Amino acid sequence: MNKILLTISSLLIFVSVVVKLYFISIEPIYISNILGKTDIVAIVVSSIFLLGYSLKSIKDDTKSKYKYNVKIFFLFILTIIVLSISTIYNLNKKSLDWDAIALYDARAKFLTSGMSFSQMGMLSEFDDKNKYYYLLYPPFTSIIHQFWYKFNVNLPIGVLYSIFLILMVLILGSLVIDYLGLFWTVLTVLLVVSNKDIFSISIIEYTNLPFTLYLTSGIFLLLNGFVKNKRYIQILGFLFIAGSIWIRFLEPVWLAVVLAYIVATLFNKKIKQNMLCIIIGISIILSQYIGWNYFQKIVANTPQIFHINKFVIFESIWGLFTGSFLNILFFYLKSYGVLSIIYFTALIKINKKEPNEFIFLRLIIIICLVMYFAGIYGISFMFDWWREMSGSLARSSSYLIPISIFLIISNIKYLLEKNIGSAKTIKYE
Amino acid sequence: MKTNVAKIIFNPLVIVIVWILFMATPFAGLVRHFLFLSSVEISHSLLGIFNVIQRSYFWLLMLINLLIVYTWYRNLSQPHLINKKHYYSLVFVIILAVINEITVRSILYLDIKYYGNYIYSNFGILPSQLQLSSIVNYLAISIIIAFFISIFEINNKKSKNTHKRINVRFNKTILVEVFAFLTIVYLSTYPFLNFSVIIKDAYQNYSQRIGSDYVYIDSLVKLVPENGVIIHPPQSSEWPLVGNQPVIRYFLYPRILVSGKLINTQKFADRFSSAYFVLIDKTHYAPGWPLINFDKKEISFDINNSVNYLNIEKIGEYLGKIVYKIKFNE
Repeated sequence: MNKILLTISSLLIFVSVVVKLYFISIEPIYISNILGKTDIVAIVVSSIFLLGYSLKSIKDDTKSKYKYNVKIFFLFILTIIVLSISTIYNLNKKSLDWDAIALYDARAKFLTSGMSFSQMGMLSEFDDKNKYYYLLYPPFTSIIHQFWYKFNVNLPIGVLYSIFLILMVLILGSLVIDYLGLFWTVLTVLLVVSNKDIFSISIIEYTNLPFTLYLTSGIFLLLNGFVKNKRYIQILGFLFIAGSIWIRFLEPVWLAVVLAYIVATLFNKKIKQNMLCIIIGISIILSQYIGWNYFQKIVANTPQIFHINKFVIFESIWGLFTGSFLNILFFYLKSYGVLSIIYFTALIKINKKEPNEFIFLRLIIIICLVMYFAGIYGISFMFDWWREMSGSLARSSSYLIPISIFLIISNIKYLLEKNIGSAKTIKYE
Repeated sequence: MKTNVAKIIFNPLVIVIVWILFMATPFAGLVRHFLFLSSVEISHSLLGIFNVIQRSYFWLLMLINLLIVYTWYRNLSQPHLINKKHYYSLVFVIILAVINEITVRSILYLDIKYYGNYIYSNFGILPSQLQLSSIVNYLAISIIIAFFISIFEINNKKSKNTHKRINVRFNKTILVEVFAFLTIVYLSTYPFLNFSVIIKDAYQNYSQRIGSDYVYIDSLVKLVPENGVIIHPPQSSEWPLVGNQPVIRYFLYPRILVSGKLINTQKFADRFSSAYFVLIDKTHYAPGWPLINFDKKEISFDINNSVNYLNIEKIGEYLGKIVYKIKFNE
């Protein structure tokens, strides 16, 4: 593990832990329960242990093994320009976007006035349509917003999201450099941060960018630990995935990652040596998942959003034969637009030298695409507003973009190395 | 016959000429537009010819173009057919495609910067053709780059004397990878090409971002005390903003908000001794709200049911929007 990776990982884990500690300080009922206690113990103990272990395993990388040239410098400058555009935008932003007004920043406002999350349900007492709204999303973004206001940071809240984008550059770069080398890493990072969907979530105050940041970090940490057979890196990866649960809760992406990890482990015949990581990882993730679920349902008494009954199940199955399936499939592909080309191409393996563990990334893409399709398909039989999900589909699955770009760049690099022979062959550690 | 067609397709000059014609086709609309507006008398048939060129030949040339480029690509199994002139013509096509792409994107940007349909109304160019032209540019560049990568592969394999024929399936994979890579590059131009639009968006205040209905919220913020109860219209397509309680609460907190939909019985209304509401004008898309019968002292907040009130008092006006205080009981 290099110094940049350790610093950014520590910072993000620290933020996660502080948010959790603050949450229990305003929700004493949560910590009084065994689930709440398990949650906080799991996250604090594993964070301290892992960061201590990472510190011990840090590499001395004061002498860079990478050579810089004009091409790299040019790409680097372009990356700085993208980060600057995001920062300039957020520095000058005069108003927040819709969901930030309705939820994320609104909750920060309520927290500042002394209200706790469990009390926010009372605000909707005289609302016929949004009873569940304030506790639909976990508290991470709102607590971070509140800290921002509490510490009197004299900058608009949007700047925080530009900082998330900068952290994304640093952590993604330090996680893929061993596979791609400096030039292709800088190119990957540039293409990720300037991607329309990633850049767009850096100029809105929603959960999408922090969610993408934590998930991307977790997924690539898991890959690194998997390829290099380092258990502490794998568990650190699981810790990031667990952290993402307290940012967004609607899509069970953590389940997709865990499933992909188990299948990839079985495929690579590493199940025995990774069994401990899987058990610890799943325990940490479940402690977070059950913790928030418990709070939402029991403590805050949030009503259930989806009501699955036998008619919905019957209609869904019947729809497979009546054309609904194709109708929703077309809608789904149209919603993703050109991104679907990128996602499907990323599934192709042409690099014969790539580690077998890369199947983990491809499995995540497959499982997540199937999961989102199944979600839309099911929802289309429950709500008449299902077509409105089109706009948020690409945004909520934006963590697939860094994974796909990484896989495609890896293939392109291989093709150029193989056919033109201009690039050096990278040895995987 | 087959040989003659092959000769034409593999003629380096053909691809360059067809490509230039393809690039120029959307601009036939530009010529037609200025001829139409000019004071010189132009025959209708001439205008018609430009119209046909713009609307029909575009598709034909696009298909011919892609067909030629793809045929070249598929014929990698006969590398003896490829000479230096072919390389140069393909490089030339790439340069033309890049120039075309920059031109197309710059023109399309005008619609974003000014208003929708700006390009067609001012220059007679169809934006849909430009968008399609952009996709063709990317496809052609992908095919040609994949072609070059494959040519390198042929040379590498020939030098090793391991394979004499090329694996066509693998070449298709190269094409897919290159196209996906260029798609990623295309999506990554967003912050650079839309810089001024993005920055302009940052300066929007709430009335610009949320829309003209924001003035109703603003009037309630200005005129209702913080411990007041506010009744707002039911959340629906008629009042998407002022009816959306979570959105308006951001501005009105800590005031208590009550959806008008819930005030459908006298018993419910009587829970509040007094409350405030803003009178919403009847617009072209939404009815006025609430419906008040001053003679009978009845008011309908949910549009279907009326409740009785004790009295209604105007407490102020802000930017033409009137805020009332209503008393249901003593």
